[in-house]
Amino acid sequence: MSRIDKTQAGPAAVNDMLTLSGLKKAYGKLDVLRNIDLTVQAGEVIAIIGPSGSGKSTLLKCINFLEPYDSGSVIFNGKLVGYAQSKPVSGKRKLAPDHVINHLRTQMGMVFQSFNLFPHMTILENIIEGPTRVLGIAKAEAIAYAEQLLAQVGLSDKRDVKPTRLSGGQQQRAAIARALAMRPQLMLFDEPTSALDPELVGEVLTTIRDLVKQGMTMIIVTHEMHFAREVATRVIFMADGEIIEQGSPEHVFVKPTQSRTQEFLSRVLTTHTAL
Amino acid sequence: MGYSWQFHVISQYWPVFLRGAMVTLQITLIAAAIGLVIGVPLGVAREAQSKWIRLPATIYVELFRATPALIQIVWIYYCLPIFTGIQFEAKTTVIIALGAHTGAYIAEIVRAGINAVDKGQLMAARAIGMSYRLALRRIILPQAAQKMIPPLINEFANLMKLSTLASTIAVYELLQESNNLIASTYRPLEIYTFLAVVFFAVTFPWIWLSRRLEMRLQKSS
Repeated sequence: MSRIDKTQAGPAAVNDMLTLSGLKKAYGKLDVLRNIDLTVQAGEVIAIIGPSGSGKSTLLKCINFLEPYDSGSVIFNGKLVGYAQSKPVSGKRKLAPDHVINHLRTQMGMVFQSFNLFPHMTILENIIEGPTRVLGIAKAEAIAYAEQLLAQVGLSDKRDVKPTRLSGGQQQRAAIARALAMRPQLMLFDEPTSALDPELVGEVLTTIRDLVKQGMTMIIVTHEMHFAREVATRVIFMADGEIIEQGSPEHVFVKPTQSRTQEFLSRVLTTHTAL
Repeated sequence: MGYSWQFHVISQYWPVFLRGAMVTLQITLIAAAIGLVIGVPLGVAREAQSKWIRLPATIYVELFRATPALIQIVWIYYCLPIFTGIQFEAKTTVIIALGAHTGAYIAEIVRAGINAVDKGQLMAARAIGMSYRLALRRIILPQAAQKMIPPLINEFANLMKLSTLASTIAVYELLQESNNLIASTYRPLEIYTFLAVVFFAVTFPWIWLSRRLEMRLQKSS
């Protein structure tokens, strides 16, 4: 597949999986996202870094509309996410019907900082819940795929166990399997290792690394700078609800041009080496 | 004190108490069932996304919680027939009134139970494409139900005590039977004391069970 061909006529850049333009979001008077423009193509691995409170997680949740954005647009596979109208009419925009939003969400997997596995279900039940209840896949088929995913994340022996019996790292790997079970086109990771004990971070990163190798398109909000540098095809530095700088890992980590990026990196990278 | 207790009236008239107890039990159980039928959907409605579903539910709950059960019974018994021409039998009135009353409290228990489920659960459910309704049914309510059991048992014990209000419109439950008996035997001290013991004996185990479950729940989470 060729990359985008800007010379072609028709709707701009058909190969773009995700396009955010002029995205804004405020909580009351606090602007969390100021004016975000971002385009993601299939196969890209985007790492979003930045200080806490910079709007990284909110940005991620706006993409699958778990957090409604105020203005601008999120276009996923050519479809506007969350709203029925691309521009507000007399100050307000009609929300898209629920089933439309739900359907778009099935195509984007999300992994949360706090795992959020369903505690009243076994790991296997957690994984087949979406495929059977939302996608309507036959149970036997869902189980077969779930077992394949459990093997992939290294949890085959935990299939009939409740989540509370697992370590944090195991829970997060199960949560990744749950998201993958929907066969998403895009994976959103919201600080997947931030709630983990340091010794459990590695196993989760390994699982994500495997996904990178499979060519999964991903957006990862992370504080793991070395990991971001290693796996990302593009690194985005956010602060105060804005994208301050973006580019290849080399560009952002080695020769950042913005002073805020430099400050941030010198701060986090020294604390890292101090560990 | 020179009072000589004569508890033999109790054993002498035990069928009267038994008859009253059966009515008390009947009122409590049916009112509890009505309360659940009203309260569970109402509690879910209180948490609904649409304001037009939330509002009527809120009005119902606040109306019934802010007025005494006794007034509700009396109102349905004496006032409702004047407006509507519908006159319920006394026992039916009590069952309806207490069912509606306890329904408001059960709605609050259900709402609190839903609220007590970690917000991340709904987010995770929505993230795999579940509708709000499906997420509620499959993910939120099963977890909320567990948290709701102790306060529901507590509410049941409350209802049992509230059933004595039926005596005010002459329903022959435990208290009314006892009042009647006192009028003919002149042994109020024995009979009221016995009544207190009976209510304690049937109510306390529920309260105890509720507390036990609550403690176990706290430990497991």
